[in-house]
Amino acid sequence: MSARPSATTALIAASVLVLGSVAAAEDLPVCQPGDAAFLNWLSARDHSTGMTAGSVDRFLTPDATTGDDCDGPVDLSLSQSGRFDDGFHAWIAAGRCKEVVCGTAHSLEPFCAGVFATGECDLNNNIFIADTLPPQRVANLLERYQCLGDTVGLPKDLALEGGTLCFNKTLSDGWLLHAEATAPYGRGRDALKAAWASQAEYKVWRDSVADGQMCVYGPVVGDTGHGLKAEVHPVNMYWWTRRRPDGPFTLGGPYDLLLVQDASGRYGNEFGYVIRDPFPENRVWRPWSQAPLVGQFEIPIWVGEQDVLAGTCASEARDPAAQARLSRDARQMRQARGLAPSPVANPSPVFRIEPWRACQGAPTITGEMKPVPLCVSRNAPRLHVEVTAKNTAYEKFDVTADWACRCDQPFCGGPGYLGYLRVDGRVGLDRDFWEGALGLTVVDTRLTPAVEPPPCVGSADAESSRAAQPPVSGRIEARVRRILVKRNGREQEDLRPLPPDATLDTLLAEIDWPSTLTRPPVEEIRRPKELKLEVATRTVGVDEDTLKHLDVAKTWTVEVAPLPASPEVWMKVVEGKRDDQVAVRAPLADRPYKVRAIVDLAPSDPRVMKPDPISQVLWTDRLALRASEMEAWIEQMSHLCDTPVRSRAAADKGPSGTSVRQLPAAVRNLLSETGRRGEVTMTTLAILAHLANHNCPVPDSPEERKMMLR
Amino acid sequence: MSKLSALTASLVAFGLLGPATAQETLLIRLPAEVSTPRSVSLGGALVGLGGDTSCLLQNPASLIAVPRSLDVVLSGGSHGGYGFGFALHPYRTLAIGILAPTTDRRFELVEPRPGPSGLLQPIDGRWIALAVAWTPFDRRLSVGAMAEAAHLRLVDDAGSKSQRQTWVNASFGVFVQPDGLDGTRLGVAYRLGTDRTFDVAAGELRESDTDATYRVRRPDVLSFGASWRYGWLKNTHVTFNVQPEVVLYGKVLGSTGGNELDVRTSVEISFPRGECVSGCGGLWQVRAGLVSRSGIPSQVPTFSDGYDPGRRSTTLVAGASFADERLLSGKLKVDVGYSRACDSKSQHCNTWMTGISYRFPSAFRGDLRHHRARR
Repeated sequence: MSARPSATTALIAASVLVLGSVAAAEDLPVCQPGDAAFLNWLSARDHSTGMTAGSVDRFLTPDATTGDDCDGPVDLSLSQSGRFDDGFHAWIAAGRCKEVVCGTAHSLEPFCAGVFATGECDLNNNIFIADTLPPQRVANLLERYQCLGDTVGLPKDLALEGGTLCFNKTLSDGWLLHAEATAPYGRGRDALKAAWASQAEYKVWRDSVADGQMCVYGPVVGDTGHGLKAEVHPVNMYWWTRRRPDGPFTLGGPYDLLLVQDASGRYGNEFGYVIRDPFPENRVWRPWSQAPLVGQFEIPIWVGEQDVLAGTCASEARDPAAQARLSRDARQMRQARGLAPSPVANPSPVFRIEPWRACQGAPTITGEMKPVPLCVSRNAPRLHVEVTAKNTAYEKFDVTADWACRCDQPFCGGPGYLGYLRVDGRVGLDRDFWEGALGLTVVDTRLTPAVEPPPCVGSADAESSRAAQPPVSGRIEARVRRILVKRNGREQEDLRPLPPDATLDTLLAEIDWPSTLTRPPVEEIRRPKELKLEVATRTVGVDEDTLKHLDVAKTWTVEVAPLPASPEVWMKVVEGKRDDQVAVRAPLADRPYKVRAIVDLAPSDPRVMKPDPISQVLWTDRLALRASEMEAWIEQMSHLCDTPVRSRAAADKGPSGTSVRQLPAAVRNLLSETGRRGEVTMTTLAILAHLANHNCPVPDSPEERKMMLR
Repeated sequence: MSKLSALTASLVAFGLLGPATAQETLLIRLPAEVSTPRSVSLGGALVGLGGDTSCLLQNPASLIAVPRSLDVVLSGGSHGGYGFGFALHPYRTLAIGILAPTTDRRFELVEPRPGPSGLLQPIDGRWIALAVAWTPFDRRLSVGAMAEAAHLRLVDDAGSKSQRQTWVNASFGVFVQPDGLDGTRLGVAYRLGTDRTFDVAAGELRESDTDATYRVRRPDVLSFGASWRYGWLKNTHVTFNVQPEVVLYGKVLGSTGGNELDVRTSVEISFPRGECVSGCGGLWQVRAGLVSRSGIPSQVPTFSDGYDPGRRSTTLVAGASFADERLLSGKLKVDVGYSRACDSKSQHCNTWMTGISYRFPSAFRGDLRHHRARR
């Protein structure tokens, strides 16, 4: 007797559900060829990995507020507010937000040698981003700050002045970005090492990735410790697919999704970030990898009518463990009452969410559990997935699906539904060492045969790969830099203001400023009592371990020559001084001086080649500009090389080459510090004069122009 | 040797059994630890605080609160105190600390019964102390142990010294560190005392004509520590520490004395220097505290000059630290500590200790953590 009312109730409830779902499905718009929902879905499906990801915690700059966009410029300099500085390196944001960076897995640079000293184990990927038209968003970001020397030939004997920085494009056909994160201690590290511990594991992993295409999400920064190396650091999310869908309505996957909180102990709290101004009231900035780190993976999906069930998912908890309990309780209740299993309790899952493994038998980041069916769609019809990955207190995920439109025509794949499967992750505990990670694989169960993880590399192969590291053959690139601003943001030099009058003519004559070029609107000359010089170095061709232990001894000789110089008379003011920085004082304060710094560099490691001594010049005086005319002058200078370079590009590779596109931006970046400080240095004027006098010469070879930082 | 005899010998060696025999002169070493300026200026109230190298002497388990990954300290001061140590916290569940060497000769050895020996001073310290903190089950609960190669020699008024003795000592602790930065930290530590016998030949000390035997004992100490932090003004916080300690005189003095309670309290204020929200400028820390030390119970003589070892005493401690971004980006900190506790002749009242500390990769201004974005 007791079963009859229950069955009736279940029947009524099922009827309500079906009717309700029909009504809800009716609300779902029908896909139309020109509709935004359909086009957006197609666009998402067209990503190189067939999916994308992002996070609500996206802002990198501390002045960001709710509603800000990510497109504004940043101050790419050593004075940037919000940069991360660990005392040895500074990481300077190249954009206002974290970015999605997709490209070809190019090479691996692991560094796990500092585990005992710092707990650090970096499993770094280099990602190649080919030049495309239109360029990827990240390429656009970098090209805003691309070195001018990539586009035109620059004099190499000029020192750097101040902190304006630029990105060198080290390859001719695209950007190479270093994607770095310190793997969290424990399971996360073990699982990631199965993919990226050495070249042997890396090769196996890379071969398993469709077209070698991988994506990462995180801050795009320049690392000053490596000569403003372009990096995504710390990477928050990684994803790739092991079989890319052949077309928009064909099946693809599995999709491997990693949410990784950096465990270097650097980016997780705000006290390593140099922030001088108070946060705005509606602050949205968070440390780049502070726990809990959240992220959302979004996979555009297409399912046929037969793959879904009518109705909406009940408002049951989506937590797999809770779902498992609910399913078990419901099953036990039905068994106790002698009822047949509910169709909802045993639906046919279209996708399976399982723990990610780099290769067969490799450890997982996320634990495994018995399969649990889960209804995940937030609107009708119902989509079921099977979850075999386990949530834990500090490594959680949630799976949802949203339908974009209902399809009933062949152009959108035939009768079915287009939507998005979303996996939201949340990892880490805001506590030293308790960084978290999540590693999931989304498998489309309709895809047959299933794509399995690749077999793991044998331990002997891995060992020999680790042992057979390529021989180190490094070299040092270096530039002399004049320090204009102290680390605390204050002016480095004690300046004496002077009227421009005849001195300006002397200075402009010294650098051959062409008469056809507009003179800078100089308001006053600023003459320092003392200059402080340092050497900016970049070591290339060595591994991270060698780099960490490398010491480069610097021996300085500095000469000065009074201006006007006819003939040049050089006087040594520093000789044989061994230090990272030197202070230079001109003999007399009543005239400007030309300064020549010669630095001998001696690396401590014999595997790093000793470079020839560098010899670079600069001038003591700085020129303050009239605020009213400065912007117009900078704008005019920004287009200095447009005509000659465009002509050259048109002859070489057509009018749309990336170097031409970004030329004004590169000159503007050179002058960015001028705009910020309201003054221009003589070396900047010397570069502009050189370009004008030589009709913006052809750039040097990539090898030659490295470390221009201009 | 029977098993029972061996056990008895072991217990005696660790100071767990019996007072001195009648033929010996018992001398009591007050429980005190001097290692670093921070430790001095907090009055040793680190059992429930932790967070740097010096804490391993008070509570080895509190090493787990050392920020990742490296903390080094070098210190020196008056009365022969000096120390060098480092703490490594490279793994989630493990931290180790080494302190080597340290010395201290601030406190006299007190004779709890009327006798002929008067006052002797110790030169004691350790060649090396090695501590391990481990978090085995729950991230909030850590246990720790410390083993040290300790040494001691006796010095009389004239500066004559006995032979030096070296032995191994140990202490154990538990430390609770909640997830919230401002949560209350708790610690419990048991520090084993000392029991050493010195056979001094005639003429070796005090121009004595006869051989003498001195038994130097330092009581075991059971410490309870608690610290909590209060956010105050912008980027400033105050840390309060309380550390009651049960000094187990009963085991040392037998039926003639009971256990006593010492209390160590201290306050540490950390505040930023310079107009800066984070990552720049410097860190100032000032500290002050009081240590209330019980007298040595029972039959303690009052000396002719009025000094009464049985009387409770109060010690004032204070200190300061400064870390500026110009000093290795705030990774270098200069510390100074001061303690005022006079000896029996009301001399040597002022103990100063200075030192420098280095931390990597985080900077000391990370101690200012207060205005964090929360979710």
